[in-house]
Amino acid sequence: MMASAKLSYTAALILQTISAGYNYGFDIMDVAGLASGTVYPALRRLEQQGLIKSNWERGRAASAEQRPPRRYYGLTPQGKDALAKVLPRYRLLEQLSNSESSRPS
Amino acid sequence: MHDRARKKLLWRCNGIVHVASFIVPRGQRRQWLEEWRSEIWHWLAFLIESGRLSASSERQLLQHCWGAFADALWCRFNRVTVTQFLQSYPATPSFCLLMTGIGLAAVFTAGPISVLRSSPHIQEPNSLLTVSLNEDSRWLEPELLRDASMDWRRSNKLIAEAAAYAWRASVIRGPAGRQEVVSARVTPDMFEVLGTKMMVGSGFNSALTEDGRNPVVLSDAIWREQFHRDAAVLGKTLLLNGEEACVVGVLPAGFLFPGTDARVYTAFSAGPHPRLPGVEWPGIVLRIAPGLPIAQTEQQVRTLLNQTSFPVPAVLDVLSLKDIQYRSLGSGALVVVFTIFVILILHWRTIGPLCVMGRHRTLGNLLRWWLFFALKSGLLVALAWMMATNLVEMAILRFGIIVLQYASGATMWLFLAGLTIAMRWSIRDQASRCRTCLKRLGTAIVLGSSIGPLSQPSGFEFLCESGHGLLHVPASDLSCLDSERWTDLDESWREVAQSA
Repeated sequence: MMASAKLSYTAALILQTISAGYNYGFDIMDVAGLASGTVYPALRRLEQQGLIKSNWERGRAASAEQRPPRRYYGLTPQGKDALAKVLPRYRLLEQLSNSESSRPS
Repeated sequence: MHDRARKKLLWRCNGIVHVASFIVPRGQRRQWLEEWRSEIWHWLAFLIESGRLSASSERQLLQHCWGAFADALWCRFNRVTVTQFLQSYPATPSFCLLMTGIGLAAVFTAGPISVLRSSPHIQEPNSLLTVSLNEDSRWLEPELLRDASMDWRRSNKLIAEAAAYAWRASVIRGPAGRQEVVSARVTPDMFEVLGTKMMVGSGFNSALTEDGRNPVVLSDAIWREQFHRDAAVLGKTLLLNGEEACVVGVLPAGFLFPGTDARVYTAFSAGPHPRLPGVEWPGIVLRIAPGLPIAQTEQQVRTLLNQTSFPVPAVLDVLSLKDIQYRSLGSGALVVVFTIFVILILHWRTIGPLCVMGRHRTLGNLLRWWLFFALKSGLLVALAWMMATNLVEMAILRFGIIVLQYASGATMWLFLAGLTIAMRWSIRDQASRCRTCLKRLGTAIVLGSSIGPLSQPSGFEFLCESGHGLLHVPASDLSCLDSERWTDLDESWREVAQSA
């Protein structure tokens, strides 16, 4: 409740980006157009607030492709709830949200 | 881009991240480093595979790596933790004590107060006595007292050495400009009697003033403020009360003249000196003969000295250095105890209900409550006393020694005013804290109807953030129907309080 009320635009944008399916640091930076120095601390803060959770890709899958494992981020139920509450405050994000949902998969 | 260049780029990126990783707390470092290395690897792989690796994208990748420092700093100095700490710490009792202690230390070190400090540069301070005019005594010329001290030394075996001084508020004008200080004329053997060695120069024995210039010895503070600790200060001049004086010595840092905070010393001149009644105050420093007990000798010296006949009726106070240090504390102690007692009685309506046991208030909690109240009040009382003393000393410096006669009274009245304010605040602060954990209570909940333009709240409620209890405060202190009361809450309230 408190966390959603205090969500900044950046935090909301990151939540929205994760919600749209971009779920690791580089992808989030690329889509949101934010600097690494902003995105990673924000991810840590959101994780600490329980709005997102992270998990490491299985080592076997990564080594099969001869690359290091990735850390993926996903929204928690509280994160989804917080994003739904904060979107009306940031109208542009809300529009983005609508356009994402109306985009053909 | 060649393979070697790619490896070099990867090496540079990983190098930046590796350096940044030292900021990250040890427990999180490995995972943090793995995430960043993985991100760099994937970004580089993406750039290579998509054929977008260029000088520009290489720069972009390096910039991305510099962002690792911001992330690492966040991990080290977690803003949420810091913010939470900054929000919650001011409510704790330790913060209250810390701030009061800092205030006390600031007043003690910044102010001109010198009574509680002892000088490490005075040898055998336990064999020293100071003689000064009693506040009720008529003014006496310093030269008369100086001559009398020489007679006492010659005629009495109790006194081994004696040196005279006369102190006044003065104005000096040096390289750093005008400065108000306390200055003292002293007999040339004063620093030998005190056992103090000059840090720079040889003092009044210097040959620098053979041309007839007025010699002056500076304290370390004046040397620092006026001459920026210039090692070649000897022979330089400054104006003391409009007259030129030549620097012949600098006293060591931490030296404090017994009884006054004199910063500049000149010698008693052989020629006539203008009479300055009510402006310049005389005194004597006596060193008693070795092996004599100070308390008994002090009494004998007092009797002996007050038998001396002067042209005007003069009463002399004889004090040891220890007496000087604790004189002002001792004289006010009874008044302080009485005042605190009266204030506590007057506020018993507030304090009384705080001193009972309750659901969470065990004997240990109650003792902790009283200990905190006593410590806080003690520090505040000391702060009030130091501020009063400092204000009066500053007034003496600013307006001259003419206010000296009123100094004790003014100090006491200022102190009593400060003491009343401090104790009232201490009691109010104690009442607005949780009775169990002693943290300041949080945001007020306004009670009463808000309907209508003339609606007034009937009271306020303050909830302990740990859920120990609830303080009800009526809107008006004068209400006979409602009063301030504390309600202990059970464990079920803890979650509610923490989420509020």
